Amino acid sequence: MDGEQPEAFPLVRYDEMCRAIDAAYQVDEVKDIRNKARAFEVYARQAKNTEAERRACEIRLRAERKAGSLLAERDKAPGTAGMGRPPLGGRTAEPPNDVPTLRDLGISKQQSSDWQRMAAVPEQEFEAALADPDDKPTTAGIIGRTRKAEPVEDDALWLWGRLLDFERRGLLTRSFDEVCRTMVPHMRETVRELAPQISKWLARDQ
Amino acid sequence: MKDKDASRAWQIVGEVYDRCRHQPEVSPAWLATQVLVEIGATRAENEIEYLLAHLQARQIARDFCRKRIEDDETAERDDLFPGTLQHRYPRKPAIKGEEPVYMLRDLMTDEDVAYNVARLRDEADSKLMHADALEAWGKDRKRAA
Repeated sequence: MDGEQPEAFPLVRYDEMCRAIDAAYQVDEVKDIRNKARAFEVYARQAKNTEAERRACEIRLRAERKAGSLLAERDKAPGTAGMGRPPLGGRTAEPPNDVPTLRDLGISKQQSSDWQRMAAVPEQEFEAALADPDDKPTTAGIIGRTRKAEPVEDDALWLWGRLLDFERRGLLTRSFDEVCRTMVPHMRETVRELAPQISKWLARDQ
Repeated sequence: MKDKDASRAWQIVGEVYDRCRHQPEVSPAWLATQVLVEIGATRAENEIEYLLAHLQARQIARDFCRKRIEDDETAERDDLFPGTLQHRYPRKPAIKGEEPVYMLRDLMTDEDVAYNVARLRDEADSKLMHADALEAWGKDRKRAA
């Protein structure tokens, strides 16, 4: 970490890194920023500095998005990909034979795919995800924003409706014993058997 | 059939049904036969007329059973369980699509009970799912606005 501390991640440094990401035109440049931000993020988490962690996370995601967009461009025009912008007035580069591969760049196929998908997320949605105060942004979460909503399963709709029924019928304001008081024996047996299983099931993935 | 005649026919079916209220099983065909006996129509006079009259009476009886028994205007409130339990329920059909035979609730077998529970649940589930879907759609639209 070059002796950097999470506390040393001030706003000015954040802005600087954002500018560096915007200005970058080679994958390895943004990959380097991304790796530094990632290391910083882990360090900040261990130090329990949530603000620094969040900022580092944002830098990482911005770098990943930029890397994704550069990788997508590279894939579209493999002939000159990875060569960067030609100098003003300079000669046009010949299509190279030595374009760095993903392996050369230290990027996995999954990362390449995820980052390119993140690059396809509209700017407004991406910024909204980073600005969401209730939800820590993640690569998967941001990619998920562009995914077409899956149709709601019958069971999901049913469960949602029945949970709402608890509220609608006012059951939540009454005690469990009071609600069960008039049940006949076989009904009580069913409740005794199923209620703990349902309660456990509801709590399992929460 | 004129409205007045239809109403009179319905009334006769009702009277026959009420007289036989405690009969274990009632079917539209049985009710139609009883109605024709009631009005004095006999098979011996004119076979074709009798069969056509029986067909018509059976149709009226089928309507009567569906409305009177299944939508039960005289449904009884059970002492123990909430909601209204019918006096009669359709017996589990031996062949799919056969005309329902309505039997007294107390005489139903466990199979008949299970058949009716499943039938009522199917009807209720599709309405419930419709209501849930509409509610979810409404909330989704409100949120998107």
